[in-house]
Amino acid sequence: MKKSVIITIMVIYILAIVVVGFIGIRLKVYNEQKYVEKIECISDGYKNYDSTTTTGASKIEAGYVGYIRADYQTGLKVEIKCRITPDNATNKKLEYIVDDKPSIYQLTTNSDGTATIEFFKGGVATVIIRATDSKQTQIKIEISAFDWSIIE
Amino acid sequence: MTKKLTLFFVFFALVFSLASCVVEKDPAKYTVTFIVDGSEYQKIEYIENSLVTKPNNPEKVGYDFMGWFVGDTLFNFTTTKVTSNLTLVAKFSEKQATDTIIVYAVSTPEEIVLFNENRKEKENKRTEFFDLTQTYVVGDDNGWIFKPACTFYKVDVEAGTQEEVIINEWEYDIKVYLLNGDKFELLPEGSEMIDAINKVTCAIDFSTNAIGSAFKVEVVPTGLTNKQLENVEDYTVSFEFEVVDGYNVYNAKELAYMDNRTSGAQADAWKAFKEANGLDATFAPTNLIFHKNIDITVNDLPGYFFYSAAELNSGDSDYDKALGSMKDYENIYQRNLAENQTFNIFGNYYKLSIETLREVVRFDGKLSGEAGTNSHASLFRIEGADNANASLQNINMIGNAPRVENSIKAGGTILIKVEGPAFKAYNNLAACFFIAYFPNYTFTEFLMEKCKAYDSFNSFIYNWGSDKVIIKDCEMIGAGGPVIIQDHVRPQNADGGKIAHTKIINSKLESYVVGTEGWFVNVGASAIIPGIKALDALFTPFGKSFLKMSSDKSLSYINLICVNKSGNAEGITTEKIKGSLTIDDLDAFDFGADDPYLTGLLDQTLASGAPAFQSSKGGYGFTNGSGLFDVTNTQILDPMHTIYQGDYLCLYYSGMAVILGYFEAGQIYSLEA
Repeated sequence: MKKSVIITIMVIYILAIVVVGFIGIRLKVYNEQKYVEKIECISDGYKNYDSTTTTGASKIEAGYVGYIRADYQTGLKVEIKCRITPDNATNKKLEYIVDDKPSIYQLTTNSDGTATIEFFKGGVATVIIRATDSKQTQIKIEISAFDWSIIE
Repeated sequence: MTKKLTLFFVFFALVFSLASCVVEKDPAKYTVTFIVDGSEYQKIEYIENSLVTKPNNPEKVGYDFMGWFVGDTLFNFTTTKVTSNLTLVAKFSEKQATDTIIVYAVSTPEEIVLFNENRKEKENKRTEFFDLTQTYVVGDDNGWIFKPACTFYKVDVEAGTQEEVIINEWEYDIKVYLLNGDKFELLPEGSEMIDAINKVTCAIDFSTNAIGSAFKVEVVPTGLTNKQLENVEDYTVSFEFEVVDGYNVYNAKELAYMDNRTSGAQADAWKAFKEANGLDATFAPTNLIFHKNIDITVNDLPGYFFYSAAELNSGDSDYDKALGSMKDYENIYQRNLAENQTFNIFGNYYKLSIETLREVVRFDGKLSGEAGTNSHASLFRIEGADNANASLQNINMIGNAPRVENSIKAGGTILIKVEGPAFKAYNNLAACFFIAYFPNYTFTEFLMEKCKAYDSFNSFIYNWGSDKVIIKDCEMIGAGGPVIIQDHVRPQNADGGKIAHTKIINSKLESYVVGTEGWFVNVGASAIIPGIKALDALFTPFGKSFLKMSSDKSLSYINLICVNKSGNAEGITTEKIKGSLTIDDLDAFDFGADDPYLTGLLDQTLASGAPAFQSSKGGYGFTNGSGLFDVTNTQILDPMHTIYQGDYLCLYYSGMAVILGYFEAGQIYSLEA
């Protein structure tokens, strides 16, 4: 191999160590917290509210971003799955917050960070999905299981 | 005979005449009365045996007409003749709507769900309040809204379809109970504890008579079906709370009610803002109570606090950066308290965020350079009489200046400054402020109790000449500079100036820094850090250190608890200053205020420029570079000497006291700590 090529490779190698080391040191000095900035629901069946409809616009104004609707049947379970931004957030764990209605539904947080809501009868659950870091960025969705028999 | 016959014919003629004159008898007549819902609809006379004419069908909203009945028998107009007075009653059946609005589901209001959640233990302890037992409070100055979250459906029974609809006006049954002893008693309608209840908005306006009492409210929407009423608990929401004097805040604009300045440009700006936003410019409630998370954006504040184009020169080198930036030395919300007045913000465990507010870029209005500018602007300021009181309680606050490399965050906002009144911060979370708590030349108690603070660009506490600052049962971790900076203000004054004293009780305070973070650069302190770190070599032979290494040994960290300095300087000086930091019942780091030997030593070392040390176990000494010596100039070689003991070490150097964490030598600092 030509001498010049070997020298070039060595210089690049050393520069890489220095640059990476420097950047690494800077990161260690600042130990910056990367907070969750955005949460998006990516569950099967999830839909964003349509701001061009009366219902959608009202729901958005009330703070909802979207919904999942299903017809109630025994054993109905709905999985709640989300994507967070940035994906290198320091604390990626989410919490799922619902009103306590044990006769209608039960929400369980799964080990993979998703959640499952099981309906025992027709009803509606408002779910607040919130980051567990200090900034607590959150979204609100509605999950409904429709069952006419609870009405008449 | 002829006479008799004539008489007979005359008699018969008379009789026939009389008979033909007899009036024929009238047929019988009867009255037929038609009744609709108890009222006479029609009344007509009919001749006996005639048929009744059916009147027009009566109408009744929501009902179908079934016919005219006599008792339970439908009257037949085609065959039934009138033979007596008749009363015919209209009967109706309720219409079966094919299109109905129903209440499908009812939930507790979102804000109450969040309140309940925020009072739970958390896996991430940084978001868990210390005190999870505080009661929800409601103000009496305006209505408190407790409206269930309802889902309405329009259902077409015939078609078998349903569609969610938004119904903004629906009526609810609302019951309010007063806690009397250990029982809740239903308040009667017209109770003197309630000014008004709005059954559509679900706003309950308590009177001043309710202040200090505890209540429960139950709300159920009207219009539930019989089937739903069988499980009415699924459609009922209830909640317990206490009433206090104060205004219920529902949005960021209403925070304007905190500011009660009456003169100056800021007062004018707030007055115009309040009037433009439908707020009462003369109203300054005693307390503000949060009922939801509040995000303060630039649109929720008077434009006065940010540079407009008209206030800048288009040719300024920093024009683009300064446009829209916050003005330095401004206090956005200020409450002035007269004698014996109080002001409190009750957060009800909700979040207050100013994340999106621009930083200060220009120091005191001057053109800015490349580096960030240390801010003097605060979100809240309390000032006034020293027998007034203020507090900030149960609130999670997020600022705009995390501990990052980007030095623009040096212009971030200070959370709260207090000058004059006694102040208490209780059970708060604070993150990402330039400085969180700032006792500003105040000589009444400034207490932070059960507060947590994290991730600030600068310090968590800046004590500007205040002598009664107490940090009790707190946790503050991860400042970009010292946890506490405290200044002896105007030490050269004839009266000695104002000395800062801070007491720490049962608290965890940590700020592991390398010494090249943004704060150090901005104040010019980074140059002295290597020299300070080099002094660690005096202690490591005796098993102690004030440095922790990174796992790859490339960096050394110090736990910088406090820097006590002159208010005239940002860094080292030759000024002799005073001040004290007391940690629990350990010996105070107070420049030897009660120890003439230590005072004498420090006078000598200040003059010579030699560093001196004091441990939290009371030992002290100085160095001439070759070792550590006591006041008799004897080298300290005994590892059991008190200077080599304790959890904290104070370095007295060039007009400063720098209090550091002190631990066994050779420890590794974990970045995740």
